[in-house]
Amino acid sequence: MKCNDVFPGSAKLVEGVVPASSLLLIGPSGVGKTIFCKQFVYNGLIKGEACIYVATSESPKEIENSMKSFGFEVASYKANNMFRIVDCYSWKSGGASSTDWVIANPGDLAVVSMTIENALRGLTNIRLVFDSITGLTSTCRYNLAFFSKFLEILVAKIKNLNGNSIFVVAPEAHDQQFISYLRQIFDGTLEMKEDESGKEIKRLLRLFSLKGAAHKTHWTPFEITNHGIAVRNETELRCMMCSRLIEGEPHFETVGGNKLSFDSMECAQTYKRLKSVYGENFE
Amino acid sequence: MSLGKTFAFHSYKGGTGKTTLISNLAALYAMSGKTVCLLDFDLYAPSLSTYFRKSPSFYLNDLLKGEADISDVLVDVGSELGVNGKLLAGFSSPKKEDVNEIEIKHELKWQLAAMRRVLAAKNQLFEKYKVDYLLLDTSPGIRYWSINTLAAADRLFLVMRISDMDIEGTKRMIKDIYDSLARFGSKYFIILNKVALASPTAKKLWEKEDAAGIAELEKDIGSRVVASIPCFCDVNFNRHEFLSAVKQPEHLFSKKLIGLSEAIKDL
Repeated sequence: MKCNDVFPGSAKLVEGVVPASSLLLIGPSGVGKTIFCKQFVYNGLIKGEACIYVATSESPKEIENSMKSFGFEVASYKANNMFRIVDCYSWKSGGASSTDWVIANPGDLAVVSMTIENALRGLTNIRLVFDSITGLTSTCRYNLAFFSKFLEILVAKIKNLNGNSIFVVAPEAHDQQFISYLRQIFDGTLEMKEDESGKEIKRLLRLFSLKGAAHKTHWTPFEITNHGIAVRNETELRCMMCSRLIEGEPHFETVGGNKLSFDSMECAQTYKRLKSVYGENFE
Repeated sequence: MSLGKTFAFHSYKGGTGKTTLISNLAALYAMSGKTVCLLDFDLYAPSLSTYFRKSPSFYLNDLLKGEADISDVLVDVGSELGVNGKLLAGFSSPKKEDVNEIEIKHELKWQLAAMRRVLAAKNQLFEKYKVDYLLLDTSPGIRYWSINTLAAADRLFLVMRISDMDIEGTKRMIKDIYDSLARFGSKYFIILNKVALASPTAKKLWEKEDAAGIAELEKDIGSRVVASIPCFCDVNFNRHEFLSAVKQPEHLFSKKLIGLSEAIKDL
């Protein structure tokens, strides 16, 4: 990652300075969200920013080991308290954890909030990763309004600290209303998806929205390498229907309020037909 | 992209003769010098490989899984028939595990990814293979891959027999699915097949092609009837009917099929 990247690929996707922001990172399981977040954290640490990592599906040890496997050495940052892991995971195996910020009952959002606040104590200019909203909601029966309030308060606290944050969510685990609600809470939305139209899976990233900065919204290919996420240089415009790279003039159609690009009129027609039959399930 | 046409043959119930009609039609177009591709999207009850007596290395199922390209799947069945144009076919796998996989194993995300591959393959057929007619055989009824196949086609042909079960089911299907597709450029038509000619129980209306009867049916269903093909025992009950329209050009069935191919080629 380039040192001027705030998050992987930000130098390519955002024009000018990336404002301090809270971002929602949406993508299916296995697409690369967690490694994206770890890279975001590591890039902050090497710039001298303190980082908080709220983890619901990995133990602190697993996080460190996984980061190390990509060359993100965090042991020294952890030792001097610049890297703080809020452990929402170890309660599953009895609570033993290698971090000071352990949440014994993630179902109690007040406890989660208080523990994160403790982890933030004494820090300014921070980065926070919340990996993930999906993991946390799976541990409790939440009320949408109450959960949104919890997130809004957390986002506001980070903003007060002039911080950058990424909150992760896997859309397949939630209904459309929940995802729509989440989009409203954050300053911007990053989306990831897999293109399985060929023999090999391709991963794509786009900055769907970001308040306060001009940015590109095209799907951009990225790879997970031994050194983390590598966002490719070129932006690729792909057909929403057949996923092919659009080489000629794209055919644009507005469907459900979104301007979508297609390889051809035929692909656009097929997309609209399927959407008319399957509704929101067809994305 | 070329100006090739995509036709899907569908029905409410099974046994209406879709595969027989679409295979004969494909052969007729290929005989007339066109480049034709026939794909078996009856993934739940495949029969085209038996019809053509082929056991290919790759099936459409492999394309759906992302394990093969359309070029791997296509079999040139036209050369051995001596057609003037080209007849390429893609078969779906009759193996139990492959049918089960389509039926139950995969979730919506997989199905959508598979649909994207089908569309990419369709583009390739028109661009690389310069296909004039892409003919898609579908599963009967309202099933995931029937709908997907219909959505990929421009012209939809509902094959039905003259029975209340077929008529009422077809009407329901039009209301539930076809009208949605028609809002985005699809056009659908009716093909009456296995129409009784001289059955002692047949209504007088259908003892011969009856313009008034067809008009009444068109009004009832709300779609145009493009062909009415009689039931021929030697075709419909032949253990292995195989491209009768090409092999027996003087047969009335062949003449009806030629009429159908002419009637729909420019729709």
